[in-house]
Amino acid sequence: MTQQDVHEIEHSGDLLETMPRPALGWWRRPIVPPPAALAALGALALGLGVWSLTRVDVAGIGDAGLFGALPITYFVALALAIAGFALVMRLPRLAGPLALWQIVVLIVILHGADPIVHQLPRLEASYRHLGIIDYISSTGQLNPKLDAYFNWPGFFGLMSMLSRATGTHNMIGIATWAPLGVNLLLLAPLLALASRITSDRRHAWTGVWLFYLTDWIGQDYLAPQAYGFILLVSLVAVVLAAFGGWAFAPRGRALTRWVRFANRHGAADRPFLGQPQPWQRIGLLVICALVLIAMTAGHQLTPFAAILLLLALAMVGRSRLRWLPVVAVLAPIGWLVLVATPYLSGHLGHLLSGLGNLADTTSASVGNRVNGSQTHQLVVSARIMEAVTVWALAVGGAVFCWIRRKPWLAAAVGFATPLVLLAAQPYGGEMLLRCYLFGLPFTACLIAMAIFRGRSGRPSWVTTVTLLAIGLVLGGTTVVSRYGNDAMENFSQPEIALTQQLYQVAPTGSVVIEAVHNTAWQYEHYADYKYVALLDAKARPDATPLTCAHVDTFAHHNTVWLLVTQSQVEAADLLGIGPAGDVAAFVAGCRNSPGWTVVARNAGGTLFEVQDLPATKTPAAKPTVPTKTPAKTPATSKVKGVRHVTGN
Amino acid sequence: MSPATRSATRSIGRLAIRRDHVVLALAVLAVAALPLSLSGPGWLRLLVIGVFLLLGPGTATLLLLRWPRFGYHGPDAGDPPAAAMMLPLAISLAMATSLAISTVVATVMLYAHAWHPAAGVMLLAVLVLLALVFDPQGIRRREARS
Repeated sequence: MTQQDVHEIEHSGDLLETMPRPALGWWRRPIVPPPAALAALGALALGLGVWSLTRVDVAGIGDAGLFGALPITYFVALALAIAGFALVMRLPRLAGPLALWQIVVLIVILHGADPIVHQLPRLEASYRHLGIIDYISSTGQLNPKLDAYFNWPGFFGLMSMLSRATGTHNMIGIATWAPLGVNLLLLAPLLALASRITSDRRHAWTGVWLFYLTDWIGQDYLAPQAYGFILLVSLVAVVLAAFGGWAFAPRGRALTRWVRFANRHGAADRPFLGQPQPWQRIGLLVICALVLIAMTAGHQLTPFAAILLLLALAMVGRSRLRWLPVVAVLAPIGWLVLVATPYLSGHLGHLLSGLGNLADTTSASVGNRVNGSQTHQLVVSARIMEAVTVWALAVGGAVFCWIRRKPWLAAAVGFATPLVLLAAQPYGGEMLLRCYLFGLPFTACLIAMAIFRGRSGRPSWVTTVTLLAIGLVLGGTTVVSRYGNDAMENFSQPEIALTQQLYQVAPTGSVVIEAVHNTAWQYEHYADYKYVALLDAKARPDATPLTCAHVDTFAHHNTVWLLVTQSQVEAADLLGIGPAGDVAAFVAGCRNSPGWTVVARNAGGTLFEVQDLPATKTPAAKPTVPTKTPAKTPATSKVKGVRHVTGN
Repeated sequence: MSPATRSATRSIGRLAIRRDHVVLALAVLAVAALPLSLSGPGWLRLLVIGVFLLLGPGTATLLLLRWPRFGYHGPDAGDPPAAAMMLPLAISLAMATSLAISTVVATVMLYAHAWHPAAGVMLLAVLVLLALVFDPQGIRRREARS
């Protein structure tokens, strides 16, 4: 059977759709909504969704996050967007632009909520990243000793170049809308990838749609990992499209059987790019290598996911590039040894200590996170349940596709291989989330292929209803899981005003302190102050209650500034950092202490100036300084020999 | 000529027209990026240079590789919706290449202690314009004739 025959069989559903059919009675005719009505449905969902988000009362955001503050109309809009896509898939002839429109509507409603509601960047890490961009763009220098971010400056260099070359010194607007922008930028790479690992265009579109419905990780803010993920998905799509095939000739019985098995279950390997000329192929290879190098310069973890994916695709006959995995291995190791030397010399022991320690990684990623207030624990449980459900659906999908003889193998290895990273490093308890994200494009395709019964063609009503039901459940859960920490992950204008006030009153070089590591600062003056956090933003119910002495220790022969914001209080209560209400009690108790002066106070929090007075020289408890999480891109400051590092 | 071949030829014809449009748009973008990297209204600089850094160098590279000529040779080349599935791949390749090239330029400037972002953008714009002028197939054809 030639590849042409295989292709014709795969697309026989499309041919059947276009063949004349015997006339049916009106009661038996399929109900097909007109495309214009579906486009209007999408527009209605978009309008209703955006309108609902603009009506959210930010004060009503509590422990359940945005979910508790959303009006019912938002959920109606989400349901309409999901129904719109399911109906588009039901059209006799698939309309790509219409499917695209429905997915864009879903992206805006589901992933554009933060910028529309808060109109400020989400996550304190966004503000730190803005600070690094500001530092690089104004000085043109890297300072690897200040911060580990500077050892992987690719993304920050690119953004700094954009900032400086356009005269845009304030990138807060770009950071605010980054979640929406990143998701829109991901659309083309995801579709390119999905169309290479599924056997039908409907399956590919549905795979992309499911990706957006199940991506609750929130790694789409202005960050190197979002940049790295776009490069990773694009790279894999190009390799699959241009270099599909076996990298080695089958030798020996076992290998021959494996190749036969993989060809039967994995290869939807029609020549998508035809036969490029040798010089064109060399050009594409150079592009792949360049993308790998840029990925390496930009983010420390993504290249390792690329290594695993490229190796896995070669093992199942979907990449005939033998040397690309070698380049993928050499690039990050070479970078670590030759460029990121300051980081490597200080953290080699820690990097190696995590190897194979699966128990630590799992407990850091799952067990240690189920803490804090009861509502927050529900949110964390929803996240775990959603991840487990998606993975279970993917495993079930792989089995179903195997039985139905659909090409499942490439998607299955893409879903499973990133999990190998779990054995590498705890990555501050985020490794499981990253593995989930790296595998999600493949996971979503496996689920999509399993939802559609046939290899191709228009789905039945049962399939459409299944699609709708799965979409509603996953979409509803994602609203909870993605926006469950909204109270602490987002900041208010009064908090920004306090930070601005801090920068006005505190001389450069001063020690500036936050009670909990969750403040919207460092977006400018990144290297001008010594930033200190008394408590890290991690669940620690046994943390020592904060006392005035914690701050007074830093005020020895000095004046320091302490910023306590509403987001810090929310973070402490939500995550369970120290005893309940500890931060509020700390502020109330220390406000009138000798040497403590309230410099500014508003709805966002309080800014204190703390001076070293003789009366305050009491024996101080040792301050709780956040611990290092060195495998991740760390930030920040050095105070009295203590280096405070947090990851992204 | 079979209906399938006729259809495929029509598709390739449409692509050739689209290719000219892409070349024109990219040339305008690159030419506009040259002065705007030095001065101009803030929103316009951000828009033009942002889009240029996101798509410009990669699109020029794809055009240099004669992308559409080898992009639509699958068995379903005559089927416009199937051919349209090439578009996401082309966009992602253009985007990834642009981001990679721009990142490498910015990173090299940083490590070489030669931080001149405007010059970096101008260099990329000039390279894009040169790539648009350069026609490797034409050169090959001339070499073959001689």
